[in-house]
Amino acid sequence: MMSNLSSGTKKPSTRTAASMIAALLVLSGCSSQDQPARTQTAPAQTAPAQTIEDGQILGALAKSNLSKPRAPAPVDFTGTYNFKVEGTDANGHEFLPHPKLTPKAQAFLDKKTAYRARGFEYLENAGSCWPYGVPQIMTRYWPVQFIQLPTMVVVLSMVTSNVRRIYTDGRQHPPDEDRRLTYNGHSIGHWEGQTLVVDTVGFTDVRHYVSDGVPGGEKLHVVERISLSEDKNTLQIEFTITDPDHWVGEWKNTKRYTREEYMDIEEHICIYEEEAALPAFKNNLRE
Amino acid sequence: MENEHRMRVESGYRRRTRLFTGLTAAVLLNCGAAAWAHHSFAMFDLQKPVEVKGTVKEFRFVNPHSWLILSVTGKAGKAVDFPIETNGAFYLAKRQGWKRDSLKPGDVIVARIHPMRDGAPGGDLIKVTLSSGRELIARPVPAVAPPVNKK
Repeated sequence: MMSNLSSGTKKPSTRTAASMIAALLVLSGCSSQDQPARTQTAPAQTAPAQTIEDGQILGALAKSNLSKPRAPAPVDFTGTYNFKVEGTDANGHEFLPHPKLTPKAQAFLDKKTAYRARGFEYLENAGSCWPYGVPQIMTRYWPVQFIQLPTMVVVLSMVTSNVRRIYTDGRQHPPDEDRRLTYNGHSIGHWEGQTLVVDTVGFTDVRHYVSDGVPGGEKLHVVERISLSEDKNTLQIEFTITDPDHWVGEWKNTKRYTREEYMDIEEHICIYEEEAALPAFKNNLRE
Repeated sequence: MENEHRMRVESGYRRRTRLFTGLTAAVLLNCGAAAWAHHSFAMFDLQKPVEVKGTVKEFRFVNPHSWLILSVTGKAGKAVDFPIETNGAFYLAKRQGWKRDSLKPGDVIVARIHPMRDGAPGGDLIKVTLSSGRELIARPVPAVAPPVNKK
């Protein structure tokens, strides 16, 4: 288990102590360049930066947004990571075990399972070029890249060339009336110690699944606690997902990823006509 | 939109069905699921691999799936297209050492595949044996320390 996992849940007293240590280091004349990242920055719980200018939300890459004074991020996640299969290849990518599903979700899963037992696939997204969406784009077979900027973390997921934008510039989720229902949702992030806590809402309920055969809908709420191991080579995401339309309570699952120093990601576009010509496609969606 | 999509899907299914009449394979029903690539594997029989000999007609080294069409001589002595899909070029190159020209039109190969569970021609590639005896591994892909093909 990674040694820094507890840092994401530090109690206020721990944060205060860390702040005092940081202050002492500054007073003792240690320059920030001399110190490892973990000691130079007190776990940041700073007030969100103002992102409204002239009544409009500043773009994450606006010059005036990027140049706002901010506490430095405690961790730089920038890197390429490959999903680490734990368990079997067949189930390591999924969130198992399932929580208690609602009758609606259970009925869908049962139908899919029955089709599979006969060699058919039912409303499967990947093979027919429908989007995976969050959280599944974070748990597939293909690598992900994190590109961290002062105002946002861009996550490139190779599967079907997906992009996530996690805003860390202090903005909130848009009000309900301004939400676009999407497969990757609207993500905002804040720091809790060394952990980036990402909150995502605004999901579509059109063929959107959170794990194999379990749908997610408009009430889906995904929280990811993202941390790096001490040696920075293992990324960990603790998922907590809720959707009262599809399961009861909080569904928690933790996934890990290995840093890849000799890997980039490539174009990965699902073309419907190409997929339709492949053997695997033949039994998809058949009633 | 759903209906429109479904119609497109089903018309694609019918096209392929017409194309692949004539070949059969003995297939046992076994439920299997894997996450090797970006879609379900419910349609492949993962428990009963078979070998298919043929001549490479076309090989596409792409993501999300590489694929090839083998020209296979069927029961009636007639050449039939036998489509085989496999891992995306990304991992075939990164983990198994494949190149864009690892398979060329005209190559006579033996393909070990997970066949279609319903007996239709087609399958998921496990490995290729070239006429030189050289093997190209496609599956399975271990999560750690995968084998790399030797030149």
